[in-house]
Amino acid sequence: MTDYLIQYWPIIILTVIYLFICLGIGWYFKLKASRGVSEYYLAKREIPGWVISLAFFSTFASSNTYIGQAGQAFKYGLSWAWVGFFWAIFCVISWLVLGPKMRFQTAVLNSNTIPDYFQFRYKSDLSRTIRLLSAFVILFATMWYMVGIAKGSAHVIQSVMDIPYEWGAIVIVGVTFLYTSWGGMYSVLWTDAIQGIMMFAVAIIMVMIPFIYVGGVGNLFEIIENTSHPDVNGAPIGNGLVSFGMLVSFFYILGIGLAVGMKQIAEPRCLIRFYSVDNAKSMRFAMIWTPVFLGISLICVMGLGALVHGMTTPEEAAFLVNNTDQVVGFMLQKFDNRLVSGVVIAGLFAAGMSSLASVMLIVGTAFIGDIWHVIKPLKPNQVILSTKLAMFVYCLIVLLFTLNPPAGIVELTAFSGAVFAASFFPSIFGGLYLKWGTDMGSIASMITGILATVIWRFGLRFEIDGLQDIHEVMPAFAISSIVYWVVSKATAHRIPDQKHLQVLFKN
Amino acid sequence: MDFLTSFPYWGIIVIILLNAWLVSRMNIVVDDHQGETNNENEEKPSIND
Repeated sequence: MTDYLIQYWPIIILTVIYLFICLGIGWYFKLKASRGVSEYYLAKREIPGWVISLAFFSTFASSNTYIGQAGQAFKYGLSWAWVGFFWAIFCVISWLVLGPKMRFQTAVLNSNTIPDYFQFRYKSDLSRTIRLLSAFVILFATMWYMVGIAKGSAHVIQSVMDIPYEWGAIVIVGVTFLYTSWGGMYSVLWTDAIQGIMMFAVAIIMVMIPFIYVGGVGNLFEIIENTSHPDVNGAPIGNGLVSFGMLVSFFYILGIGLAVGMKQIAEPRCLIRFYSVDNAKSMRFAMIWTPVFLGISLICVMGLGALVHGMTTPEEAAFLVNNTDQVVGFMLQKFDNRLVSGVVIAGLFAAGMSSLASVMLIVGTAFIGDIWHVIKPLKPNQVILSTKLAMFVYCLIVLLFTLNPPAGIVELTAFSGAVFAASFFPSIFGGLYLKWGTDMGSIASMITGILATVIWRFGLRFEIDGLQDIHEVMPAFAISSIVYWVVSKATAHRIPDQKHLQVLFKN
Repeated sequence: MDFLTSFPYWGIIVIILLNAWLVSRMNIVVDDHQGETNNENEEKPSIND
């Protein structure tokens, strides 16, 4: 035990401090959040722009970004940063196109969740069904995402702190549940902001490690510009790390770039951030600075794996090229600085927990606010307690899956992003901008989006030669958008009344 | 490093600057007209207290 503490004390101290700060924030907001549903679900739309901006960044970027995507560049080279380029574009689109409109309309409609926005915006006898359907999509699709994040974080704890995987998973899910359930959206947003600051700093620290280890920019690029390290097929990489498209096809990059990047314009955990902005000045701040936080971090992280080649022997590279999730852990071990490892690990925790907390609250509000309450209405004072209970049960299920993760969980998380993009975006964009959008168009595009994603993924993509690199998000998004347009036009008699639309579209 | 490989790194910076310029010229309205629409006649299980 003493040896363990001597070996890991900087990491343990930094991690424990970080976890107690998160719990402290949750406890601090416990009373305030319990005052009403609007407080617990949305922090009463009174959060400053810098908090929202950092919260959006830390919610979207996760441990998958800092570990999984960073490691992918080991296999695919510096071209992998194109994925980050697409993510940055969607970040800008999300804030420019959706942010202000969504904040305005959801306040007008008294909407607290994404599913209830669909119901109130499309306003018909069918819109309750849209709310229920979208809530069920959230429950199903987020399960795999939560398992993926918990699994990734537990692996980090295991590899860097030598703590058993099971205990790591329990700590991550348990602590996140506690502060989320205590402070609701208040604690989610404020812890997200702190986690965002940590993640931004850690991204910069991480990219500096290979340069410091090798001894400068010139030395590192001299090594990686022409390397004998093997690629996935065992052939020498040569100049592949610095040459566009040599180690990965652009279609594959485009698929991941779109599937994950589009989460920012369709996933409730990102969109719900717009609800809580307190005023126009804060909105402007967040619109400018969120792409800065995300963009700079992606510049640092997305090509990191390629740089780690400068720290490896050919034997180590041969192992890592087939185990890219271990590239960041390897880099920290090789650098062998406990303080740096401690800071980076705390940042990786932050990356995982910020996404986990956001999704946890979305699941609780979807189950209680958009399913239970719709089927069997609850009294206001029952809603918060029931939401906490729902989150607890859901966390237990997530933990169960995390302890016995199904195969291909990481791929499933990207798949869930495609489901959201294809099934939610047309209804959201149409709701915000197209007066002629109807409830039938919305529900038809949702169902089509889900079906197209599933059919392309499980029926076509890996069955037909040449389709492997075309991610399901591309055809599914195109089809669901067309369906929204065609069905809305065909059911023009179901457009909500003019008075309703005038209020919604007056800004 | 060839042009297309380096593009996303400086391309992100260009996007950030372009976005800042666009936002600074935008008229942003998020005024709070909370609950302004009339949803009384529909099945609206409001969860607001």
